[in-house]
Amino acid sequence: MNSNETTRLHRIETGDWVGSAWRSSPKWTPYAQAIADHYPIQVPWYSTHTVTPNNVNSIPTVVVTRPNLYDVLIVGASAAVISVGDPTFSQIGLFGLQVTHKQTGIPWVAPNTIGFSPFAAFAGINLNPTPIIKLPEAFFLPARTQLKMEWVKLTDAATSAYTIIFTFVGVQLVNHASGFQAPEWITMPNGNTILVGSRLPWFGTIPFGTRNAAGRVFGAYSLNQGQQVVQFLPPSDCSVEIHDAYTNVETGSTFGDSPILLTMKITDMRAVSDWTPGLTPVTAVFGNETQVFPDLSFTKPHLLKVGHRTAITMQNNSTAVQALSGTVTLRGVRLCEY
Amino acid sequence: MFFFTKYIYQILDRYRTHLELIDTIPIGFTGVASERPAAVFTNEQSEDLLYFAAGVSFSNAGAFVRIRSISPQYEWMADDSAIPQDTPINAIAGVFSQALPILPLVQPFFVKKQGRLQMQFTNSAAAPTTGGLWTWRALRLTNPIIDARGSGWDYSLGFNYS
Repeated sequence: MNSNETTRLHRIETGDWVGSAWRSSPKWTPYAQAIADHYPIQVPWYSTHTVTPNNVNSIPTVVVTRPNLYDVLIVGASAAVISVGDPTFSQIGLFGLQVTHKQTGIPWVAPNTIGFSPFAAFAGINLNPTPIIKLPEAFFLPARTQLKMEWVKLTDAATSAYTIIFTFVGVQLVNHASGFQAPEWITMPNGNTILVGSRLPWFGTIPFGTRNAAGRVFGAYSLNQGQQVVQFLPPSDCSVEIHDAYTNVETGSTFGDSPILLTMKITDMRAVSDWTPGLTPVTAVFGNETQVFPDLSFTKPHLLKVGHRTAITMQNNSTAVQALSGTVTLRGVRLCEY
Repeated sequence: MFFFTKYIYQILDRYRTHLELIDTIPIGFTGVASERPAAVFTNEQSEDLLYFAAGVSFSNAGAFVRIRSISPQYEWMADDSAIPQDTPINAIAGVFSQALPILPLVQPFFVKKQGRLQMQFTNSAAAPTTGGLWTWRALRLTNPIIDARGSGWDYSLGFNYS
């Protein structure tokens, strides 16, 4: 643990912990602002990509962004969905996304059971109340580098064919000064100097349930009625500020009963007194794309220290139906210096 | 609900008066699928401007736009693909019937007086819109501070700004 992280135990450097909604704060995060301060010209930037994910099986479809002329801060994302035969978009939560910066090879989604997060945890969905959502932390994309997007179906159930038009939203950072190079170090409001790239968007997705014995294929997740299961995120190789949470159980999973019957309890395994003391309906903790806060914020970001891991106890209180293909996603900021 | 970054405060500080401006531009869709009507421009103003947010008068998830500034020219949409993908309108502008009818830009955009934004629209391939209005919410920057740095803000000023 470095001195930066020691300080963060007392003050989390995320501004007023900027929330998931596009308009939730008039400011950027201190990290984003400190990078942008090096650039005298700042221009809105939109990078849009069309993908039709494989809806037959769970073999990823890969899209690579083109290199950009200028450095970019990616602040949020939006997605438009064009479906075939399903105008209600009820299966949005069933398509997962992994984003990797090709230059550094660092993925945004934690490599756990799934390794993908529903794309609605990254992006607001076109005509819903919040069409753009913020990343937990702005991502600095240096000029002439690329992002790799891997799309995958998160269920083994049949899904409609979708075309997803995915837009990264950010700011082009322009500095024409002779010899200018992008900053490598920036100073945070608390005076600490940190590396650019040491705060990265982080997504941790856990299946709501388990893969059953008969369906040991990727995406065959279920939690039967009346059953309880515990799932874990892997121990983090860096400290993580966990900001907010998304779930697809109301909009993507196959669960024909009231969502308040799905309950869960979150535990930081090295500080078991933290978080929820008992089982809570998922609707009280997790947002979804139909709401104003698709990624429902915690009261304050929770610092998951390096080596710790998060457990989620999940219970299906329905007496009639099982929950199929449900996932929950925690979103945050990965604190590492590479 | 708007974004006020340090960059924006630096610009605002170069003017003594900031006045609300709402600029509505007809798009001119004729209801033809996938049509690309002639590009439309914001109205020229006699003062410098900061564009903060946008909204549209129709709801269409399949309509697209490509925006650039004219004088100086900056492309807002990544366009280095062989066939550039335009951006869904809903990723930039609020929709009149939605919870957020005006959607703020993450970075308000500065345009010098007599400058314009160019918007190239593409209608939906499946459910085309007829007509359509695009509205910008902006601030007119008047009564500029004149000093050794010049008058008001200019793109080059940031290099020397402390």
